[in-house]
Amino acid sequence: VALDDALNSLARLDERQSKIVELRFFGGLTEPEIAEVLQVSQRTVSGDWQLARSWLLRELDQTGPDEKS
Amino acid sequence: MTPERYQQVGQIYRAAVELDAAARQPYLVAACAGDESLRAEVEALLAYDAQSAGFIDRPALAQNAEASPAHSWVGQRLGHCQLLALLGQGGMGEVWLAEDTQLGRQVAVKLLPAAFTTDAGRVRRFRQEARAASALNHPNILTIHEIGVHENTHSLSC
Repeated sequence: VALDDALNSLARLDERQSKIVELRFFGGLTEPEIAEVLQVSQRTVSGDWQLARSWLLRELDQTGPDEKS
Repeated sequence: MTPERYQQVGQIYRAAVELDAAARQPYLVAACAGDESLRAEVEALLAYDAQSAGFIDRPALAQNAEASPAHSWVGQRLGHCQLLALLGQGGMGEVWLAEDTQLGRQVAVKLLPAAFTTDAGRVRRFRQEARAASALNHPNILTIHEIGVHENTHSLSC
């Protein structure tokens, strides 16, 4: 649930990055598959993924456990 | 943060993350051109990059499957219930067929896998569900007999 909130915030900042996280983490797609679905290069996917992951992790840390639900 | 600002942060982040530690600082100073809040933002994210390896790295489904291998609970005892077979599983846990060895009857035991117990929100909702259900008495609503914690795994039997 906390991750979901963070993902929604990310979607407002960068739609593509949140899609990549969804496809990879919830959908189980590989980076080449995501690149094909979104019609972008694999390099873009892995760059986006790396940034999105750091951003989400920080977001989760900042929200704290009590505001998770 | 605005989407524009996020793009700006992202662009510098991406370039900086490729650099080694020594080259990073001078690059950040130059790239952010005196914009201290921009630099602080990028640096905070870079600090998270190091610890984010492994975070949501593997798909959620694969993690769930590995965190709770179905056979591991067969024959195990939780309180006075002996787990017999896995009936089903979902996002919130697993439901097992078990035998109440004291009363000699079959019961259902719902387990919140250990992988989720680090999430305070999940544990709270799990306990809330147990309390809510035990407050009700209706043929179509399960009756909660017991809630418990066993080696990090939260359970409720009904």
